[in-house]
Amino acid sequence: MQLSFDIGGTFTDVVLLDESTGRTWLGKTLTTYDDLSRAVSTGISSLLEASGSEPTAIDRPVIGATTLVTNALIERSAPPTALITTRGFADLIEIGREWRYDIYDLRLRFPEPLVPPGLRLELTERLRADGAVDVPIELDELEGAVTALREADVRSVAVCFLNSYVSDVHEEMVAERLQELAPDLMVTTSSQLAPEIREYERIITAVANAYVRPIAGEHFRDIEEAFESAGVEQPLLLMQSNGGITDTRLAGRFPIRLLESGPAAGALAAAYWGRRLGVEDLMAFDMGGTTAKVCLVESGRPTLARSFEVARVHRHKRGSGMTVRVPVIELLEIGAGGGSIAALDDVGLLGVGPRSAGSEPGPACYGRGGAKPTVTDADLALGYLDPDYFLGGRMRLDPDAARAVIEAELADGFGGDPREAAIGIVTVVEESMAAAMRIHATEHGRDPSDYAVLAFGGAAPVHAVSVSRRLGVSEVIIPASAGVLSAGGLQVAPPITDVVRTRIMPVAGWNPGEVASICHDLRAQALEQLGPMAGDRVTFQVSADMRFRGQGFEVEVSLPQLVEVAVSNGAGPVPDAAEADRLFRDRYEQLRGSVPPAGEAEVVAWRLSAVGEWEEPSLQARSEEHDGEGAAVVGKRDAWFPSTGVTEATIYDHLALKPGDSGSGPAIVQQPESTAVIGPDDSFTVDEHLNLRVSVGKGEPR
Amino acid sequence: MNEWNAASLQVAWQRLISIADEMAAGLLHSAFSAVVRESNDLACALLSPRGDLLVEYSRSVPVFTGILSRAARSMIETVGAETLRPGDVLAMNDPWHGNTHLADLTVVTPIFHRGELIAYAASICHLSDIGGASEGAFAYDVYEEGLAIPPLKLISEGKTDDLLMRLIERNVRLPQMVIGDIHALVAANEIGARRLTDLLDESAGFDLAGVTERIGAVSEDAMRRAIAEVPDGRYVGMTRIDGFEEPKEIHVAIEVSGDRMRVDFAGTSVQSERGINSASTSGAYTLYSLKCLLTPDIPNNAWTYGPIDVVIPPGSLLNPSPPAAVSANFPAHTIQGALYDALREAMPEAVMAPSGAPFWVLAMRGNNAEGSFGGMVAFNGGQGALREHPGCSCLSMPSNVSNTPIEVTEAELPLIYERKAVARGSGGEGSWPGGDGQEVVMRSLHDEAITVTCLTERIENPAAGISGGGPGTPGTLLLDGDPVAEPKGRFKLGPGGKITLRTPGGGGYGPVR
Repeated sequence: MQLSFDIGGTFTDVVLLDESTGRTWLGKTLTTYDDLSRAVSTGISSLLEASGSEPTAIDRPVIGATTLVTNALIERSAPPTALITTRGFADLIEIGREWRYDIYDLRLRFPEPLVPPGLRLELTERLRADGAVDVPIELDELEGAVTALREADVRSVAVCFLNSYVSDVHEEMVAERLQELAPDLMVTTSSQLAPEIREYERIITAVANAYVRPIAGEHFRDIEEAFESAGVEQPLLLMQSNGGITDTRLAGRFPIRLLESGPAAGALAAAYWGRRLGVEDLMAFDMGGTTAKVCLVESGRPTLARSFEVARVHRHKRGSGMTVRVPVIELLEIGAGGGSIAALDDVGLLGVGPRSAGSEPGPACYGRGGAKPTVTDADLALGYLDPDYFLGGRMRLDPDAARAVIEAELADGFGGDPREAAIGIVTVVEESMAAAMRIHATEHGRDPSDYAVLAFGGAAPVHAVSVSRRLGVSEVIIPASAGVLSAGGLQVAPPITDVVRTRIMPVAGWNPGEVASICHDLRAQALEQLGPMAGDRVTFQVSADMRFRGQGFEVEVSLPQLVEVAVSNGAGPVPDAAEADRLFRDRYEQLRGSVPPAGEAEVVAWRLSAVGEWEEPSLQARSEEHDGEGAAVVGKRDAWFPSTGVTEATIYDHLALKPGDSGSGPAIVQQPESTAVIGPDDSFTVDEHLNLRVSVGKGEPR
Repeated sequence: MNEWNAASLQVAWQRLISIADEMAAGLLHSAFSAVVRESNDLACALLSPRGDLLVEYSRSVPVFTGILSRAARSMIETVGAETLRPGDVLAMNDPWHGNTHLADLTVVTPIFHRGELIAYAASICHLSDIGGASEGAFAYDVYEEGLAIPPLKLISEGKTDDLLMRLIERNVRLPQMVIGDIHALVAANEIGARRLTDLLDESAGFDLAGVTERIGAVSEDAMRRAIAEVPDGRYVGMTRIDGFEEPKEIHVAIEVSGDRMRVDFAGTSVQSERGINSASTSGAYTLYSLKCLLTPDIPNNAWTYGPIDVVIPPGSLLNPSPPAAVSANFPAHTIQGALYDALREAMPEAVMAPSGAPFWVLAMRGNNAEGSFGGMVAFNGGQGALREHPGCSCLSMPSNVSNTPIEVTEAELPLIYERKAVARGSGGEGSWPGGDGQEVVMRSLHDEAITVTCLTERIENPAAGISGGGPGTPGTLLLDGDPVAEPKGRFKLGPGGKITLRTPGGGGYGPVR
């Protein structure tokens, strides 16, 4: 049996999977912030009891995702860390990029640097842009630095020198000397973690890693102790933001790579199910209480971004956080979920989110004192939700409260009509998701209608069909159990490590020997990082970040031929300059629409991704409760649809549907965890895994 | 769709804004000019069929969106609206047609839908070069500043004007990159045109004229209400700057009467003999600065400014007569300080002390074995303080030009930085202190002299404090340890030579407590 857990911002989920039967047990408890491992411990005990299993039945490594890193960077809950940098440049961490993320707001706020002024230590040294030594390093100065660090009780330090993306020689000398002077000190060198040009971003990344390192180590030990006391004799593996798993050894060195690991698992699960269903290009759409997340899956794999902005400090605005350079499954986050509050602004326009009513007091219809209208209130007022079957009937909703608060707060903007106001909330929220998804797809050189949408998480199935209609998407997949689906993500994650090397090489000066040697070095570095996770069969992907000389943004170009070169220690055939140029121009045109009339191509950085030996388990989509028993049609209810107004919709119970069942809209398919809304122009079938497959009709845009 | 409600207008407005955002993403990713790609020196917008700014990329450089309406209208009028055909693209860099200065190119593309001209896509950004002395302040007239392009059809019905392109290529120092920049501007507008026509095709009910009217009405109404809350009266303010041949003063009187505002720059110094004059940018910075105080949360558009009249005396620093040199139009950046000085008592909660503005620029050129090299580096001063808000250190204000990463500069130019640090204590004292400027030391690694053109300000005249706050520390510019004689001129940086600079701090707010 396999155990996995996801310590999220609100809930900690623990999942037990019996691979032989595909049976899955789910446990959900509130995250315990004073000791994050406690909720895991509780979850394990209750699942072992529920399944009637012995702890020794768990015979595969336990895989976990954790909010620890994200949470520590937002809350600033870790002890202070230090930075050792080039003499003359201790303030770079504070100066940042000098620009404003909102040009009309004179009162911008920026994140407080993670390292306080007294712990930004300068060392005499300087490398030039070509890697040559300009000022020799004064390693003796480190002794004073170590004393300062001891006095301040610092256990973890970041080392980031200018131009270390070209040459790691000085950073490595410092790491080595620190090892001698202070063997217990944890040292993060920027050249190991993120050897990419642009010093501010590299400093931030190295410092963020150093900051979370001590607490990450403690966190892993706490979890391992929780296993021990539960009698689970398996090692801990951790989900990384790039969608791969890693061991505690590597995660302890590079904990910043665990950022957003929980949401990454949901994207992986969506990709897995896409592959199983033969739908390789899809948009995974997850909508919870406060935000919605979208991930593109291309050819069965989630797309990756090379940086992520964490801990925004000013009105949730993009640009007000810290951008760290780590490979991360590209999750587009939209500040609108079921609990998002709708309000009229200064000029009378309706805005939804990013403020949320959360779970306490929650939407007005929860009847817990929420006095602001939310998306869930609108969903209820329009007939999409059943007041008596929310969370499978565990909670009753109050439609009158929802309607009253919508009328009181918003009707002014809608000629006094509360139904129009409820329609307005849903329209604004769906349009903002559609807009984000549209831009996301076009940034990848694609049309949104190329994709199917896979919707999971509380509020997504309510809005997915309508959002898809706005995008011209023709198929929506709604899994039988969103909870089971995302829990599976951790179990289908292979061991992956991503490494990068910056080496600018014009295509005009293409050097096959050097290309081969870069690939070989990257492979060696990746294998060192994978360690025992590599197993006997490692697969590689090689790509290059390329641009026209003079541009500042690169296009990632896959270079499959270089895999052979990496594996064979340089023996394979390196593509020639013309081939590299052609691959770049093709990709550039696909992404940007056209290629400039003149220009020389160059490579800026080389990337290698290594996947350790791994066998994909076979997951089951249905939950325990899904028995296919009883009547599928459970009633009728009036609901509002854009093309027909208020119309009687057929209500189905998803738990009673069987493979091959079908129906046409208007229909509402209820699950314990969510509700799927299917319009009058749409139809659905039920596939062998009990997923709803909705065929989206043209209908009328709202 | 004739009736708008709080949701339908919001949705339509946001869809248009997202088109401008997408244009900008395209431009940013394909431009060659370093200040565009590293410093975000660009703007993208959709304009109404009259050429009025309807929506802009939300992180545009303020001055660019401020000039777009006038520049576009002038281009359309000069070329003749009746001559426009699908596939046409207009281009222009002429300051007396509403452009900023020659180094920036404005590109406007008419958008047709079902045979009718429904809107324009407009983009503007700094080109990698435009010849002449375009990057300095020392020219005596605009002819010295580079190649001027009057409003022209760069592309006619899909066919590029080769004559014009050949002329541009021959007149600029980095032809391949300039051509790349122009291509990026044209491509950004194409994105805008395609997205807008797609939107109209997909959403049969999308009423572009109707939404334009509503956006205009809502924005203008919001501005009127905001002005009405400012007590009626006449408010005067000023700021003093170094200028070129002599110090210059910007004087302003703001008359608030009900829901209208009249801004008059009478008393401002006469135009300079050199390139620090500001033509169209003066109005742009005036309106931008007022919007920050009055309606900061409403997306920007031309109608917002309906209730504001701006009068600038001809022949002054802020409205020079041709053929004045205007390349280094940075004094316009200090208009914000003068306006807020005037409104310090009428809007004490909103105003900000003068910032250590304008930002400084060093442009470097030289020759090496491969030919010639060149590049520009920008340095920002400290932000002025507001009530309850100490100024931020090293922040671009009122422009929005980020720094170029040190590693990017060093990879492209034979220079090495020895220091870049916050100039502690350079912000003015006050109840809330001004933001600090920065101190930078850089050294040449080149074996020949590098020509350095410098644009600096506030070396003699600091950013003043406001409402009793102290002034920021003025800036300094040293070459090999000695003050540079002409800090808006050019000098030679010899092998191993050193530049030391400190950008000015921002003013403080309120007396020290």
